[in-house]
Amino acid sequence: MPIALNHPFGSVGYRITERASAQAWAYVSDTAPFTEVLHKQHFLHGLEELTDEDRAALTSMRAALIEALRGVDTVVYDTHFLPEEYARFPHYGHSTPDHALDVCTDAKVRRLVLYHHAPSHGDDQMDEIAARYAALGAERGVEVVTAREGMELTIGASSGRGKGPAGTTLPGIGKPGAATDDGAST
Amino acid sequence: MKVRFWGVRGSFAMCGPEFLRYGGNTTSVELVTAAGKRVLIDLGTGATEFAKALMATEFAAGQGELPVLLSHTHLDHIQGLPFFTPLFIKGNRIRLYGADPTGSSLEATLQNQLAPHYSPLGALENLAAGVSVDPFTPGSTFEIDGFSIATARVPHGSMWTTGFRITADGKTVTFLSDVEYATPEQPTAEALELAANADLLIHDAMHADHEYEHRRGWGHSPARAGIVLAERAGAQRVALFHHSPDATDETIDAIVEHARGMTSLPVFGAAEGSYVGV
Repeated sequence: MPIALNHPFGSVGYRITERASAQAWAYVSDTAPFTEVLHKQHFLHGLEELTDEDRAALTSMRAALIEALRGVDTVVYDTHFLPEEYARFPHYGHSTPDHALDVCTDAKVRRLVLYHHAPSHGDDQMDEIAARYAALGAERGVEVVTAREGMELTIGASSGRGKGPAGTTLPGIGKPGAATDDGAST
Repeated sequence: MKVRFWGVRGSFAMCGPEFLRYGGNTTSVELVTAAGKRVLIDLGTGATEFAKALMATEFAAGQGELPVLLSHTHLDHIQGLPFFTPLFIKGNRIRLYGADPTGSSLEATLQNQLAPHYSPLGALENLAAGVSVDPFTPGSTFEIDGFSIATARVPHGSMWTTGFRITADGKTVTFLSDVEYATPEQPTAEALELAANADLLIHDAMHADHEYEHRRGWGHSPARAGIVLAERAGAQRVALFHHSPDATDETIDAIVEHARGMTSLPVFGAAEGSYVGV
């Protein structure tokens, strides 16, 4: 099911349900949060003042997203920025893990996958981000996993196996860290 | 003159532990004179790393000027453009020079790259820095900031690209990526002229010699093409460049070793981040 997102000139997210198992996951990238900016069909030098109509459009866009994500097992979400980076570039069309966590909490999603990492975030910084948001997610009942190249996820809460977080498997594809005992949680 | 390789990979960027020594970013090469004047060749993904280095200079304050020579506009040579940070700072002046073998204008091609289908930037006019696009006809020569530049068409599969001969501080660097001659043993007259007595020849070496037979007509050279050209043209040193995304560090080591066995000239595999004095 396609989902309209808030990105320059538009972007589409998807909710994908496996018919046999009725298990669903969703792909929500790229998108800005639904507050400071409503991306339309023109270039933004910075934030433009929102009209009441814009605010209404943002509110309904977010409501439609929450509705589409309701009960989904796993959501892969654009979490490009850290909050301090987002504050500098709110018009770029990307979110923070905090925005994603709010959406997943509201939609009662089981697991959030942080995704679309900023090119400037090195492995060490990604480790910190992963640990910080795994802890914040746990406080709110959302499992937070940080996507890494080569990672495989099994959709569905009961399918967890191995030493990673529930439902996470890591194939040994030779990436740094992939051979660690609990690679997906680092 | 110093040469710094910011991106040496061809076709598309690679990452992973097998690509750490030569690097995964696509083509971008900086030339710096003793007086500190710079020219950049190509804006592949390696240019984004160069951009970070520039942001520690006058470019951060919007007082930088950079000429950029484009060999052609295939994506691996321009993908860094929308992410080249100095373009977002008012006051910087970025001058793009290139030919366009497609029949379109260079400016139209670059505008297309920033069109909403591909980028939120929309158009060159939206970049805060002053950007100029200066087309040239291959075969022409010109001067930029202490660099003398000669240009020529070289064959690249069904099209052509621009080769450069760049002289500064009494030294000459020749840049010939992406190129494929009728055979690796038959460099064109234009390539021979660009490389004549060059101090450093940077040459397309996308394919290992033993693989080339299966890649004929793709527009790229085996490593031996650069060696043959350097020997005929009297070039002093060869940098194998535009490594295949399939070529791991070990593969490139083997290609370099094989090439060294063919010549007494110094040969090395261009590696991302490395400085070479000319």
